Amino acid sequence: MGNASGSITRPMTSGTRPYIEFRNVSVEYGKYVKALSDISFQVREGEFVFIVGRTGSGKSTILKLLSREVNATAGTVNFDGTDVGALIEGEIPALRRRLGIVPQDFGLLPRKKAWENIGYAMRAVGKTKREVRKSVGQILENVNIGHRADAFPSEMSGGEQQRLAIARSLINDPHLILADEPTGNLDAQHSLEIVQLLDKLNKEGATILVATHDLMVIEQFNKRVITMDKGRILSDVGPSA
Amino acid sequence: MLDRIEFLFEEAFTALRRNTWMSFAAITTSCMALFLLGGMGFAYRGISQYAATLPSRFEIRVFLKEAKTGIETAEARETIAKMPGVDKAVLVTKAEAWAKMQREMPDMTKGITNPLPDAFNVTLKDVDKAAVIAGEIRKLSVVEPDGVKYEGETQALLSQTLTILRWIGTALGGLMLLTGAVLIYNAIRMTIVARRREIRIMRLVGATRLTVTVPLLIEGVVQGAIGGFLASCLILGSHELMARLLNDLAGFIRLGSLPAGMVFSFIVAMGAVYGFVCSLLAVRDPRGID
Repeated sequence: MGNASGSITRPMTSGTRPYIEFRNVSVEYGKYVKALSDISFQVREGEFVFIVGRTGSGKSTILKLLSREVNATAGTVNFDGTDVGALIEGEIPALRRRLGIVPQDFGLLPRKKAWENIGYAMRAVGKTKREVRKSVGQILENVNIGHRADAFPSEMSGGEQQRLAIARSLINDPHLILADEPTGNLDAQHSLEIVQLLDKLNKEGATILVATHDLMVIEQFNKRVITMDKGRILSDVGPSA
Repeated sequence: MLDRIEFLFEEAFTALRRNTWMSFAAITTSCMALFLLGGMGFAYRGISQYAATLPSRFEIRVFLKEAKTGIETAEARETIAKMPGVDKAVLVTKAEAWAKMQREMPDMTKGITNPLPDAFNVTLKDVDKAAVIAGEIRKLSVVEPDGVKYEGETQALLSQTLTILRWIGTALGGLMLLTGAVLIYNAIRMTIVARRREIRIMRLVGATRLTVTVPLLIEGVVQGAIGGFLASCLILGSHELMARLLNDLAGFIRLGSLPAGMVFSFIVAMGAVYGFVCSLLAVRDPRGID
């Protein structure tokens, strides 16, 4: 399906509401920087989508629009029936508790051990100490770093740190995971492991959006790929049958 | 709920520990500001209370000689009452004056025989004629040579002192309050910078703005309250010191006691409110939080 800007969107199965829908979305940072120019696309629930492109192509902005770190200058962003751009300030925390956000730089707390990094995030969203004790082990096991619970981030490999960041994104049991360059700081082997982990979460039911420029990883997974350039969608290719 | 409160307080005290020097600066400055304002306030109150015990500017006290008859006293009272500018002259006998003194200063009057003379309390209609009237009364034969006491000048001096105290207290205390406010504001802003990772993580996982800002508000309140506590100690300490100094220099001057409970609760509460307002201003700035 084409649109006014020439970007390409994949057709939705008729009769199903899109889980995520970007409709003619533009984002401008200041007067002269256009991060996104009139893009439109849809994502179904349970999909795994790579958003690829060079630095500055607008792929991170797409994820930030969904988490409302950025608001669209024009157009609408819908997530599971919610117009994300129309949310008031006080409603944003509730939106983010429905998401799992994996930031580009891991965002780990260096003075806290692996389990404390998870525990801290859980406590920040209102979980009790008891709930933290009960869940942390399981969450770390889920990303295969249960044995590193007492390690500080500085004592962990890049891959383990990324797993920890993914583990933290799971504390709210999210249905949508947004990962920004999750393999950006990792070698080929660890990159592969991280995407395998995300794939596992996808198979367990989570919708996954991964912004990356790691073409080697993309080639090894048969997933939908949206290619961005200069704030526009160049192509939107589904997984081959 | 308790778990939640515990988390918020843990966050606040972690920030206080990490920002030790900035917190120290904020606490000491707010302490000095509250000491100046609170101390001046209590000094003002003390002097006002003392001033209230003095005869007013419309009063002249006239002490009479021992050797006199009742008729002489009555004639003198009548003469004074008829002087231009005098409203009335009331006799206060030595027994009445002594009874009053015993009530007010039981320690000082214990075991002493009444040394006071009979006296007139002369009320003036015209303060400008006070000096002339005092001169005329001095000429009366039943009046002690130095027995005419007009406290108008003392009252004027006290009034000036109170005005000066009010200005100094307001100016210095205001300046210190402003400095303290800037320091508390900066301490909170520095906390926001120092804890930007934690704040970012909180926001990413969906913590509410209240969860992020309440620890910062607690931090400001704690800084203000500690400043208030230290200021209360300084006020009570300096009051005690002043009381001893006055007692040594002039035993008859007694400083009224300062109720410690009231000083602590008032100044600490003032400090806490002050800290809260400063930190509220700091967290209203969305930089680093949103």
